[in-house]
Amino acid sequence: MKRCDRQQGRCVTEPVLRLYIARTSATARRAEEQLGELRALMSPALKVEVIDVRERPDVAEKARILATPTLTYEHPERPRRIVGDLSDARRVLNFLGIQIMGKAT
Amino acid sequence: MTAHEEDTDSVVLERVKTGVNAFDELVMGGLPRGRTTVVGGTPGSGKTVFATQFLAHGITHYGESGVLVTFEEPPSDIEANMRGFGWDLAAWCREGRLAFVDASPSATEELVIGDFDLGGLLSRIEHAVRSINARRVVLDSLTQLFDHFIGDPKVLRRELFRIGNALKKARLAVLMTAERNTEYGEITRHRLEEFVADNVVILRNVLQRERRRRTIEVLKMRGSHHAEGEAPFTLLENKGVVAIPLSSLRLEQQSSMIRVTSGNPAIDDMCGGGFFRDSVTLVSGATGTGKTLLVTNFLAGGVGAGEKAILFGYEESRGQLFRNASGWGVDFAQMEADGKLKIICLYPEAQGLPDHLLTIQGLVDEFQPNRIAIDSISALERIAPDTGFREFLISLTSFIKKREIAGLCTATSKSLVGGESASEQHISTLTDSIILLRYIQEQDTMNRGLMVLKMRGSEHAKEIRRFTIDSEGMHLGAPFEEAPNVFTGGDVEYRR
Repeated sequence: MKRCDRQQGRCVTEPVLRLYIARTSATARRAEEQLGELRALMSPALKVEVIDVRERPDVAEKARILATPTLTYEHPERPRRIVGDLSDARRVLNFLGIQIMGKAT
Repeated sequence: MTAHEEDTDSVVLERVKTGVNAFDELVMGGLPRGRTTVVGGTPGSGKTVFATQFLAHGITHYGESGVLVTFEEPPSDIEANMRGFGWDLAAWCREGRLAFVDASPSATEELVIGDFDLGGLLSRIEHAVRSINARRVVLDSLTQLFDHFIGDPKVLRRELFRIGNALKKARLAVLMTAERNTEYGEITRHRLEEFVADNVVILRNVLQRERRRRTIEVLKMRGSHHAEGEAPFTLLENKGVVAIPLSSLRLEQQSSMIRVTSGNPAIDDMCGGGFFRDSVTLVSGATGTGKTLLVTNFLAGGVGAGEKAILFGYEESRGQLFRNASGWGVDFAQMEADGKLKIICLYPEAQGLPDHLLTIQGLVDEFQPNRIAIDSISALERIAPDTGFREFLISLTSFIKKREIAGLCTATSKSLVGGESASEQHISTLTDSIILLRYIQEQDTMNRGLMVLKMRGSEHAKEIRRFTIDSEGMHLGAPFEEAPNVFTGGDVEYRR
């Protein structure tokens, strides 16, 4: 989310991991489970949000989401997104550039 | 199919006007609401213009808002590109009459693994539709979406089918564009029309005789009738796509029995009292046989009877035409000054045939003449491919008849003695009357002969009349006694 520095007069975006799903679809539940597995492997400090595109199409519009599930890592320098199957947690985190914290499984 | 679906299918389909009038005629009034139409075309064939016009027409003429889902260019580029056609997309967005769904490629790195759906896209489109209460939706172009998710054509087909159905259920008129690789071949890349389209329309942009020829064709209209064939179109500043109707489809012109003068009393007599008011007459002859003189008489005869006349010259300059006319005792300059005559001289090569047709139509509607002359049709023929020329003639003759004005066209035959011109082959079935001017050899002298070959709906003289030309114009004399053959030049030996 945005944190604004009044003295500098500009906003800095904190990294956030967002999962966009269409909750009624078959892939949504699996994606949410997979997100839980990812969270176990990364820093608890990292902000995570789940957005149901059916409920919040305006948010999906802003992020220009086409496919669900899409996992976005909204990082100020190197934003990345991954679409589809999130089951290979290491591959997902490596691609997004998120440091792996816990034990390797 | 359930009983409910059958019910909705049997209802007469509401037609949505696209803003391309001639196209709406091809599809019996417009694109059906609650159906999807795929518009296929090669790059540069005018898909985005056609699609945007479909939305713009709804906004400006029917108060129907539209959603434009863009997969290729970002909204700002489309706004800039469409401004030249007179469409201010940005203003419509501010007024809530248009909404973009920006699905153009972004800079974010993306990885696609395994199964997914396009729930995000569908939610965004539905959100945009709800927010401005849209009735029309455009997706431009689907091919770009396939390029984005390049490894998953099966998923995309399934998902597009789903999106198409959702939009149809919402009773929207849906237009999707898709790219083609070749002008004649596979309908679209990825063959996506097979699973997503109720209707298929093809835009073409073909190079023929060093000229671009744009056409629009309706390939399929599910559950309804449509006209077949390619209708030529052009892209015009401040207008967009302007198609030229295949008027041969509708021979609905009323036939008038009112006669008007040809400008020469002797020819009027040969035609049984003059030309019909809403008829087109073809004058065919070799160079120097007096075609331009006949045109001059036709114009002067009309002006003399209190009519307004217009001439489109494609062979001679204004100066030449004025000088010729004064040589035969006709003052074109005075007639123009009186507002009774308008003479337009153009190089045939100055523009393509569809544009020539639009020029003629525009000036006729502006000047409102009672008669029109075109000198010559053959000059226009040399810039056009055969099919294009035939369409041009069909459209031109039907336009002249619809306006209920008298038309006179000239065609130059290639050989000096007899012979028919290529234009003649094309136009002879389309014109109501044909007058032949021929050089005819008699012993050791070359004479000119005139005959009325055809006069639809009327008796006419059958003989070939000798005529001479002097400073007062054309003088018809006695018929030839020994009938020469005007088609081959009167060579008796040859005829056997």
